Amino acid sequence: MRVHVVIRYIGMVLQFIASFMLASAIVSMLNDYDSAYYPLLLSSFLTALLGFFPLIFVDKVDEINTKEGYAIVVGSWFVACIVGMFPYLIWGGEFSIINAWFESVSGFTTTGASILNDIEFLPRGLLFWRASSSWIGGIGVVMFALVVLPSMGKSRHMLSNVEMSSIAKDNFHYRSKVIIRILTMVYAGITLTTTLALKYSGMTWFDAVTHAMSSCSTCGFSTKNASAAFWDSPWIETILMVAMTLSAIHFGILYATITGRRNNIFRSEVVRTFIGMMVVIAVVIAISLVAEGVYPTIGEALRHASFQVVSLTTTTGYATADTNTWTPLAIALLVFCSVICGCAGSTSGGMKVDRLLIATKVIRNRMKIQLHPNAVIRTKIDGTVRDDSVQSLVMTFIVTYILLVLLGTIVYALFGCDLTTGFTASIACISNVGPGFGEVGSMSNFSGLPAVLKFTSTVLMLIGRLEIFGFIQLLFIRSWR
Amino acid sequence: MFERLKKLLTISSIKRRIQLAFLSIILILCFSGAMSLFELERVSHDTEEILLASKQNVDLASDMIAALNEQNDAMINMAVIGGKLSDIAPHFRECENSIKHLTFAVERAEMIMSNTETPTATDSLVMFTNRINALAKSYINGEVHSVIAADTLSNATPHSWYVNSYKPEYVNVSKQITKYMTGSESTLGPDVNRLSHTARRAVVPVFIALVVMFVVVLMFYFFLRHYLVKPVLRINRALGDYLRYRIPFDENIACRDEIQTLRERIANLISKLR
Repeated sequence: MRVHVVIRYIGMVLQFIASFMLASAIVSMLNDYDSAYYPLLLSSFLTALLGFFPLIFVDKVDEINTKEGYAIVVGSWFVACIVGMFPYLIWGGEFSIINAWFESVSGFTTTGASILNDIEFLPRGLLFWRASSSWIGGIGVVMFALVVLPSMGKSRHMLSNVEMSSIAKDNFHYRSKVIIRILTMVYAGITLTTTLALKYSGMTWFDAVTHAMSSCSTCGFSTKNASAAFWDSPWIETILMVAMTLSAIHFGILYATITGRRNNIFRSEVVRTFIGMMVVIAVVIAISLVAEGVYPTIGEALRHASFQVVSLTTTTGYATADTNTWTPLAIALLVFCSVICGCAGSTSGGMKVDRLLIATKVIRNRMKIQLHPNAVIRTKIDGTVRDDSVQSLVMTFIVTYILLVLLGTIVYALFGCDLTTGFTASIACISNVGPGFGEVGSMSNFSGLPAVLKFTSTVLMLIGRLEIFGFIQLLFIRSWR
Repeated sequence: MFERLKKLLTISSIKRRIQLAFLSIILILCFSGAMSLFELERVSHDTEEILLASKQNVDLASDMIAALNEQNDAMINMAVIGGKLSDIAPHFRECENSIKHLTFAVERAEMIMSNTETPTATDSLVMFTNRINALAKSYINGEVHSVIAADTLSNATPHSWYVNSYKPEYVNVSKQITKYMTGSESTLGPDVNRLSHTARRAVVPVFIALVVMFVVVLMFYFFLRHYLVKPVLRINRALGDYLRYRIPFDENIACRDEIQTLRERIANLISKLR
């Protein structure tokens, strides 16, 4: 593996991140040079310099191999999270080293979990940087860089292949260059539309932009301590729900729907399952909440239940109610939502509906084969046959996911967390959802956890964001040579 | 035009590369240094402000105590020691002046505190000051004497009035001034807190810049080794092999700078020598 080539590409990604820090510094400047101005400016300068340095020595390389591609993608995510700490650390306040690392990883991996007890105390520049990091992370640090940075040449194909999961690529029948363009267009389009809709529903421009960035990246960072509950507006909640849902659907299918192609959201089995699952779960939760007297009317129960279900299923993590006080059935269903999450090829994390569908069909076919041993049964999704290698990959992913959740729960328990907190925090981190239950519920945060658990949470977030195997590759670094 | 610009931006000489690398390191140092100087300047400014505010509070408290003692002395001379009107007349003026001084000092303290996070901190001081001033004024105006003269039952005298009415108020105001002196230090709390943040901010950029510099120096070492040292060693070895064993000189180098030119020139020289 050519380490210098890997460093060059990571450097290019860093320059891209530095430009967002500079944009945040400009936001700071526009807000009377608030206290985040110098931290952001300095961070931007240091990050840009760090990114520029490899470009002095390493010439442009057109061809990169798979190992280099993996190293660039995984390395870029790590380095992005590290430089993302700079503005927080320099600004100070609640940000110790571990807190700054947590907030940075949470932003880039679009988890949306926070260690901040008073978000409203942050200056606007820093809030914008927080939202920006999640927006960059939403589509993927490297993917975003591929769009913006010129002269990536043939390496663009390799990098986009590594950055996107194999399932996500299925609905794209274009060249890498076109795929990247579609992703960006859809992402920017949803963000812009959401910004305008939120602005005209009563938010300020600043809140509208940051919430649009945060909801479209399915991160869930808010500028208010009470999250989306601050506005207590059905309109704003509806807009956020639409934005979150769209962002959790395969961008290729969204593009196909907009351009009037056949494989649109109405014909997609995955999207139908995703939407249907959310509707059914929201109704069941609403009924259980009314039955237990948590909410007096079905309308109110449905409003809160649907928002929480959409928020957790899309891995955004906004909250309008304290779900810790909900019924056990509601909590169990919300945990289920946090595990399954959105569709592949979107900004959401988690196991993905696509994998759930394949796994369900594999189990069903296995039962059929037990009854009819000579039968040849193929697994189809949206009319496309999924071969054995895909099925095996899906099942391996699910098993690894479950093992990691259990391992995470054990680590949480080891450091004194109760089972609910440990189990749900593991799921919330590995699925990049954000809020869990217990001590890390929708109206609380991760600030109370010891430093070692905060670090464990960030590891889980990165594992989840890199679709498990990307991260595990790191453990076999010897085989990279 | 575009080609020329592209050529200009393409870094293809070792000299320029090393110059740029050093320039980057110097830039990091300068920028972090400048940031630290700026933040330290702010720390210094904030410290100065805090010290100034603290000194102002102590000065005010000292003025209040001086005015209160002046008033008390005058009251002792008038009410306790007593004497002819001509003897106590100067103390009337002293008492009037002390009332003015005390009122002025307390009003200034009230104004200063109104700009802090605890604007009501001087409320008690103002209340007790008004009460003692009212008592002193009533003595000067002769209201106290009228009351004493009218009260035939309790054998009241100016001395007993001082002990029973004035002295307790004097003690109260003294306590309030002491509270103001110590309490005003706590109102500087937010400033001190801000100062600690600023002080931390002055240190963190340097720390981060050092980390970045460490990474940059590591990269610099790596790139120098990869693009300069290793190719030179390889050319040297290949040339040595050619001279000693006549092994063909075909060392392949992936860089496009002076090292590549050197390799080509050596290869040309060897081919000409043949």
